Amino acid sequence: MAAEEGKVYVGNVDVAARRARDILLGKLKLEDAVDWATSFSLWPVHLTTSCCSTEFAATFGPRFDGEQFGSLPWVSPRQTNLIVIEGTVTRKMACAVRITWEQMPSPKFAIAMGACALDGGLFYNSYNVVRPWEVIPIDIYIPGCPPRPESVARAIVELQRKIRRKHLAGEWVRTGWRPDREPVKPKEDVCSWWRG
Amino acid sequence: MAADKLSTARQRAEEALKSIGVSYSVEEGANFVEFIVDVARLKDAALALKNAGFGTVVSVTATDYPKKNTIKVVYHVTSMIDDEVKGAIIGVGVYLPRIDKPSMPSLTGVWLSAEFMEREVFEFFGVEFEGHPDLKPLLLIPPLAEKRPLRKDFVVREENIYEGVPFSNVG
Amino acid sequence: MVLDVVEAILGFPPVWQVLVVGFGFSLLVSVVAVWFERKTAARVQRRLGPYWASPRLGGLLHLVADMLRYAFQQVIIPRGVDMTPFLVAPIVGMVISILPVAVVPFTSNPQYWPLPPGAMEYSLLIALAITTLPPIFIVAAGWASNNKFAVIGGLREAFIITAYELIAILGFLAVAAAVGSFNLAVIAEAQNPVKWFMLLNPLAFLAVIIAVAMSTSAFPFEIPESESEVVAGPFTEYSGLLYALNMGGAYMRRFIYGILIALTFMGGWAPYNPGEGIFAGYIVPSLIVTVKALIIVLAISFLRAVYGRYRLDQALDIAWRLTLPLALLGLALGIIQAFIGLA
Repeated sequence: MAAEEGKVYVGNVDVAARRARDILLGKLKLEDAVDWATSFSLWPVHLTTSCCSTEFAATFGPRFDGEQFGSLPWVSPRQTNLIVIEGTVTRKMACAVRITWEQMPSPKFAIAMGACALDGGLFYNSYNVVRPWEVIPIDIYIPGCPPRPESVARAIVELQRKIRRKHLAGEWVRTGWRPDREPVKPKEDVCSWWRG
Repeated sequence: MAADKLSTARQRAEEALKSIGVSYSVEEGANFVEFIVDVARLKDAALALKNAGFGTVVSVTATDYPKKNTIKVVYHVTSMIDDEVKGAIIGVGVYLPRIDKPSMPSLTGVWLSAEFMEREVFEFFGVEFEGHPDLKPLLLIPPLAEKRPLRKDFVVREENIYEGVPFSNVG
Repeated sequence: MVLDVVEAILGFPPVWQVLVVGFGFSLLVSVVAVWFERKTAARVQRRLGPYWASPRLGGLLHLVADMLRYAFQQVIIPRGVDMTPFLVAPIVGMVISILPVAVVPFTSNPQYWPLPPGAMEYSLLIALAITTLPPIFIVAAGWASNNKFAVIGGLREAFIITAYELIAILGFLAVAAAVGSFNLAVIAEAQNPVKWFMLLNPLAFLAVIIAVAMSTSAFPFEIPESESEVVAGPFTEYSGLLYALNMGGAYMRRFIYGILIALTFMGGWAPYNPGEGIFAGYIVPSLIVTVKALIIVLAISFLRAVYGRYRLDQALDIAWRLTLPLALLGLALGIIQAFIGLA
């Protein structure tokens, strides 16, 4: 694979060494280093909302190997920074999604996967389905029913680019907020029915 | 073959119901037979069917008839072990008045596998099963279950597909 | 004046060893070990593993990225936790897990020993005593988290402690009995050049390796943190830097145990004879010991790719019924060797 200047995700030792030197010399800001680190360590949390999770599992299986982008599915939300909404979110699951999202430490990112996560898909106009963007802020949408594992890998790469282009993680470290959006608060309390 | 089994099963079920003196009416479906009994004798009928070898509940289903002002609840049962009737589905059901909270006895005490299905019928149609060990919504959240989503008078709101999409935040 | 004080503190051999070998090397070793673990697991499953951050280094920079990400992530402290132990336990646990290095000699030249020769006589005992401390802080971290998974993980850790501690100490004592000394330098020197106790006393070596794998939650015995049962065990509520400290602590403990094993079972600086001067007398032998310890750490990491996880009861069964007799046999073998005068 040819190494491209200025893109660390296909970079090589020379580029990495130059970046390290730049950091040491103060040319490159610490925020850029945080952006770089966060983009190469996007750990999705195990949260299976629906049937797209089989494709999500295949993404991290032997053939498609999502781990080569530095992305490792992890069990506990406290140690992750990416949530992948895998398909339909029912009203009951919306509470779990929101709780998991709140448990994750910032800077955190979200990918919505599948047609149901876009506009309801097969379950469009249903009484028991919510759109994930009503519950948490979404960064990347993946169309498809279900999307191919390549699409999921592509979404992870696009999210890496977006983080580096818009300095999402670095800005969070500097200001404590995501620069590009207000935090989404659900219009209705998704966990109102849940006692304790 | 299947028809043989169905007729055998029907014969056996009729004998069982007659032996305890339950009056019933028969409704035939494509591949099953339903015996509609009185609500008061439902538990006896169920016990008789279980003793006749129908040990497993395949589904508990309900149908809403707003014009006839009734709700029909049917337990579809079969046998997993008896070779003579294996695969043949027999229904035992009741007609309930279509009121806000119709009530009928729970058959969880007879067939344990009916427990979750009765909870589904409860949340979607509002049928209350007396004597059910844990009657609460299974799939829906409680505020939604209050609205009885599968009754015919439940109105699904028509949505615009672009409704609420946060265009300003996309990108 | 201030510089003199700083130089005196940093130049004090135990401090220097803890900072450079203990912290610096073990940080490096834990990064390499995690990378090796992920990479071998990927290779066994016919995957690539972490790759695209630095293709020519085989994705080693991904681990640097992970560390940076953890360092700058938000640290969440839940409302229900017991604040002081929650914050103190991971930090003190990690510091204590690298403390045994303060008494470990990396050379036979007494000039560069961290302790005076009289205290050095008990270096193996002191090191073993300190290695038994960090699990207490893991249990404390789990208890302070006020989370059911954390408490269960901490309890499992406590079960595991009682099982492995005895085995590890018996295994190390077998060597001490054979040599007739608790001085790590004497033990390592007695094995020069190829009379390694790994070969002379394989029973004790095997027992110690199993005990080390258990104590640091290495893969076949990754019971306190088994992710399919208790989410992340005692570290469920930890995020950001505190979690990195916790996870790094386990790998650092593995590395410290690796140093002890390298000294007692693999001859320490064995093919090499430390000479005079700082380079020949200290740096070269300490590098040899570190490489041997790294080999042990990587060998334990490799188990992740090939073994499934034991249940708690199976692990305790193995510990008490298989490994403890093994360690006792190893001790008997060591005593016999002492009588024969083999070592």
